[in-house]
Amino acid sequence: MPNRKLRLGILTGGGDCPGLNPAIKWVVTAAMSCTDVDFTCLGLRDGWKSLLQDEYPDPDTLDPKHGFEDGAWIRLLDKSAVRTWDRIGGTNLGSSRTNPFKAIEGKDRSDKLLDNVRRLGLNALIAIGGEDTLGVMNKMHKKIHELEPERHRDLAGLQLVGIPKTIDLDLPGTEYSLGFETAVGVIVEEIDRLRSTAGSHRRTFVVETMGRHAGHLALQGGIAAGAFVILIPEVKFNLAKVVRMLVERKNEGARYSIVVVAEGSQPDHLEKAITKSTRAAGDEFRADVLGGIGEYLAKEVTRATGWEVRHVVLSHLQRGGTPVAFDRRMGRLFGVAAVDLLLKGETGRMVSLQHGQITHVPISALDGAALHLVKVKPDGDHDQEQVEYDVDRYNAFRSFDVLPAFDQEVHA
Amino acid sequence: MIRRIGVLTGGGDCPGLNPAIKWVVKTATDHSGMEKRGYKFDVLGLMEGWRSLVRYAGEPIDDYGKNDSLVCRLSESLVQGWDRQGGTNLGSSRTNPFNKKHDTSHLVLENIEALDLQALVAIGGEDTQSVAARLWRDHKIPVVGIPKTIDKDLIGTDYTLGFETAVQIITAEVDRVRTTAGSHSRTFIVEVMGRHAGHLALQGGIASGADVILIPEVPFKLEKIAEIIAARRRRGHRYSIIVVAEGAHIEGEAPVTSDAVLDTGFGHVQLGGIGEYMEKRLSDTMPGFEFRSVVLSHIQRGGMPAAYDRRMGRLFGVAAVNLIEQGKFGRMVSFRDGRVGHVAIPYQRHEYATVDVDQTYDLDRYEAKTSFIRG
Repeated sequence: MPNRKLRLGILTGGGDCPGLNPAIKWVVTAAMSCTDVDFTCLGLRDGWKSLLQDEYPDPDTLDPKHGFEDGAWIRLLDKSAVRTWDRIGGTNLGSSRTNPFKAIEGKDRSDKLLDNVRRLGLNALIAIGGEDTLGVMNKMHKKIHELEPERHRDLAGLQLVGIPKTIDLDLPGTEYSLGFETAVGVIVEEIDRLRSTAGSHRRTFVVETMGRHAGHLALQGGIAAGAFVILIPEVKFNLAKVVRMLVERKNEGARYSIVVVAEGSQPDHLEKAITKSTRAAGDEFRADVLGGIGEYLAKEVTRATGWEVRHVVLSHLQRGGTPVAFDRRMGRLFGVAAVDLLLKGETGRMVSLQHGQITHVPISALDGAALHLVKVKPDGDHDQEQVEYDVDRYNAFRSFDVLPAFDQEVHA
Repeated sequence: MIRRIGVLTGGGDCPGLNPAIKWVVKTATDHSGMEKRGYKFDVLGLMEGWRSLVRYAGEPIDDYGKNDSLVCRLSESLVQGWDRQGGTNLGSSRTNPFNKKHDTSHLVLENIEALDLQALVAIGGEDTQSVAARLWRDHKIPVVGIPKTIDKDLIGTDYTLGFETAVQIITAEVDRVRTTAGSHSRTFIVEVMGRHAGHLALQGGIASGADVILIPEVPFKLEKIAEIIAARRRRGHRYSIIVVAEGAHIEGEAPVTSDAVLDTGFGHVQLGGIGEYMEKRLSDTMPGFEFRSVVLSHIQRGGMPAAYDRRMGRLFGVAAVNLIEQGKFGRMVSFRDGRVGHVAIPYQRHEYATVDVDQTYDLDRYEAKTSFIRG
């Protein structure tokens, strides 16, 4: 017999990506398979926005066979409701970029957030998201335990667990975030396609990838796709040098070259990275949207060489489609681990991958910590860490600085 | 000064071999690397695994693809697009120069000398590595290994090339099987490779959401599977997916093997047929249920490498050349705890890295555990 009841709310926030649905499935499946705790799993619609509403149906009246009925902000989830979700991209719970800690019309909405947690009778909350979504969870944790412990004493037992998600792979505290491997796969597939037209027409292509201020997506996508030049935000690039490299390669007989450029990359003669002027509607986290460097670069190379250079912005394709096997498995590992943390009585933790193993870190690890960026050469600080990018070639490293022996035997 | 590296691929082919070859060649012939180390590397492709070094008889060395030569020159421009290709462009074989019945290792040693190879990169699984290990141990031939096998059962490393692509293929195929399973209310038994290890079945089964996963490490009871399938039907499921490793077997019975004999000097039995066998047995004992078996077989080794194998092939290829530069021979590139490093080339054959059953497998439900950091 279950010895306690636990009402769990699950939400996804920020940009969607493949891997969210597998994580949701496995949170629900692990929770509902649990014999010593009687879980009720509530799916919360559209991220944190779900917890800023005025009207909710009574959770006890919900039927897991139905979705978000009549536009309700919550739904009941059981194993059969989520059975097929690991095969589906995006998030079936919906997402938003709502930030309850950002004052709208002078009003901070974080009290309302906590009031709704009370109202829905939630004992635990699992948020799947990136820096912003998990940042809200971190602030919630702080508010309850540090800033206003007296006011929120009744919520002291509320368990908060985060699952890292972002195709940018820039979260501190974890080596993996859901969606990355699928996004890399998309970049590779799209570049494989571009190669046929690039080769046929002797056209050099500039492919712009996402990644915000981190170059992981561009670098790993570029490596896997065999790009000739990979430009990342961590290293300001010199336009003339890129042109020189392309010209040299053409002189060596190459019919075309593939340049992969991260949206956050910046030429060294510009003041800042190129952005689109408009902020995304409904985004309560960020001021500007990166993008446009691909087009800029293609034009500049054309200007310098007279060649026909095309650019392609992969944009939201990188978040689309079904999750690759890797993200299905990682979604499962993260989802199961999140429920394990609840069962251990943990709170304020983020599930994480460290040294290839599933573990967990305090969610406050996200607080003010530097983004996880590509390790660039030369940099004296990374004695034990493998440098990933070679500044001279604008491409991946070609030699391991550190190549440890994993056994004890002594070899002559 | 020029130093010569020979590179070969042995054993079953898989996606990830060509990326590794490409990056061995690119790293070895790279200009800046050359400046740093002060000498040049030439890379020779040794066609069809160890067979090349057994059969080579002093023919002139040609460029790759010319005159069907067993030994050929590999250049950076030649291997340019190889990382996008599955299989191995160097060919493969199951030739074992140390075959007890017909030892040809002296020919290999002679040819290594005749070809003036200062280093040898052997890309392969257990068999290929065991030959490399003996060449180093008994004859001090400067070998470096790169691990490859879709079975991921090689000791000394957490990753072997081809695995992730194979898991991805299983996932895609099971996704396809589901539509017909659902339409006809049929339970499908999907037989996957893996030899004596359940990694491929377990990870492929997890990724594809299989309801029952059977691995060689845990002999199973047919009655229990029947119970699980029947219980699922009672709960309203139209069908179930069973993923079974070719090496999995019923408690008290031997693994099912096929009569076909592998073209091999390594003496392996050919596993296979457990899916069909289960289909028959379950159909007999469960009237009213329809079972179908599908053998994924060589499809699991086919097609283009997934992004993961392209990147891992690169890391392994670069690391192999780094080991040669550092004079670290008798070593195999390895992936441990998320990092690339190296270990002694595994010498012992018939010793496998199998699934950690305690950590990952649920003995009662025949599927992956749904808890692991509790406790």
